[in-house]
Amino acid sequence: MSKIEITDELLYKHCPNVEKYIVDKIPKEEDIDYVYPKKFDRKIKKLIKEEERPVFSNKIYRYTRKVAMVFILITIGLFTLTMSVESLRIEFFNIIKEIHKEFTIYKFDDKSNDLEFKNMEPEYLPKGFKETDRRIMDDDILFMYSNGTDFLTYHYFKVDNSNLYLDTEDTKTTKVLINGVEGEYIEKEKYYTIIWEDAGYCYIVRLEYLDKSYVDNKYEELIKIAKNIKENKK
Amino acid sequence: MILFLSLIDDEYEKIKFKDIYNTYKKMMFYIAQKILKDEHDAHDAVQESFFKIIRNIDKINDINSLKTKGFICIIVKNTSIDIYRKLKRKNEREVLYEDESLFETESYEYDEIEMANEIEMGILKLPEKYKSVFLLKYSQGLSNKEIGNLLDIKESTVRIRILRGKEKLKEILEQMGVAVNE
Repeated sequence: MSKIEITDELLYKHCPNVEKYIVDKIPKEEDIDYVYPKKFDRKIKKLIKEEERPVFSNKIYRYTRKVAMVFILITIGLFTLTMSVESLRIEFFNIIKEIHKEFTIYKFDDKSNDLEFKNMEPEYLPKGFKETDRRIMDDDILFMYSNGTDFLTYHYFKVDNSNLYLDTEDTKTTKVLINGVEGEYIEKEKYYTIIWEDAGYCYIVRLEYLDKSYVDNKYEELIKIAKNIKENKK
Repeated sequence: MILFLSLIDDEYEKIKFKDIYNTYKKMMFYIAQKILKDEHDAHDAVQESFFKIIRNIDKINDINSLKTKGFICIIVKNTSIDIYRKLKRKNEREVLYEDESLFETESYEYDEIEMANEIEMGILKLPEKYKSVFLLKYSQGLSNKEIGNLLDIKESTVRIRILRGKEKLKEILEQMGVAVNE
């Protein structure tokens, strides 16, 4: 009788069958005689609702100029009477900033950014925050952190010929200095954002919370995070 | 177009969360209740498991697939075991970390005739902490890092569990009279 060897291949072959066996042993949903209390159902629905929000609000849209134009046209159609557009060039940013009533467009115009993409990551996080997700693309990094109630997003990308939209309606915006580079601190309801551009790269650090925040001194914490973004050479 | 696709994607995820809950909520309770033997604690386990599912929503494609059912089953089982241990500690009773037999929810359901394959029977008999890691890796196709995040353990612990799980499987198979290579 030949001896078997416990290898990864062997486990890849048999584990799906074991899982199927276990799952098949569990009674069908309709055969389980249990009704959750309505209070519990409501609790889960609330959990879903709360979980959606960071997913939605963490999205920072970046499009090509062509797509952006479509978006602008639609927006103009909707807000013709109320929109006031101010365009200015920010020296340090090397981008065009268009301030609309409901949002601000940062128009990056660097067609020749052939810099090597560096893996820059925050070395400092406020107490209790842990990484929950990370998306790394060619020239684009998006990390998400949470302490359970507050959500922190770090978005870093190489500046190219694209536009960035930020919801800046009724916001409080102030200038900040991040390691000698000028940036903007934007505060809106439960969202706190710092955005700056440095040597061909754009950095966005955003903190938001749902019902209650456990982060004191949000401004100072965001500045501290921003100042402690270093290259990860691993 | 990208904007619209993004919105659809978000809406899709929202529906996906609700569908998962409605499709598996009773099964989730069934598994948790079997381990915790208390309705209130089982609710806590379901809620915590659902939170983990939401965090790992990208690993779920077809809600009604066997793979998804298996994935949810592993999450609920492990979450329930964690809660069980916490409650034990809280009650200052002795915690027998290695006594995984407490959590062998399937053990009394084994049917050796049904399970014709000896290797599969051996995997099924593994302590839960090894079996979960095996199923997440070799059936669900998760990386060690993803398994670590899901089970709240270090990646190095996942690697150790895989190694020890293989050793344990060898031991079990030998006890079953199966010849295994050293």
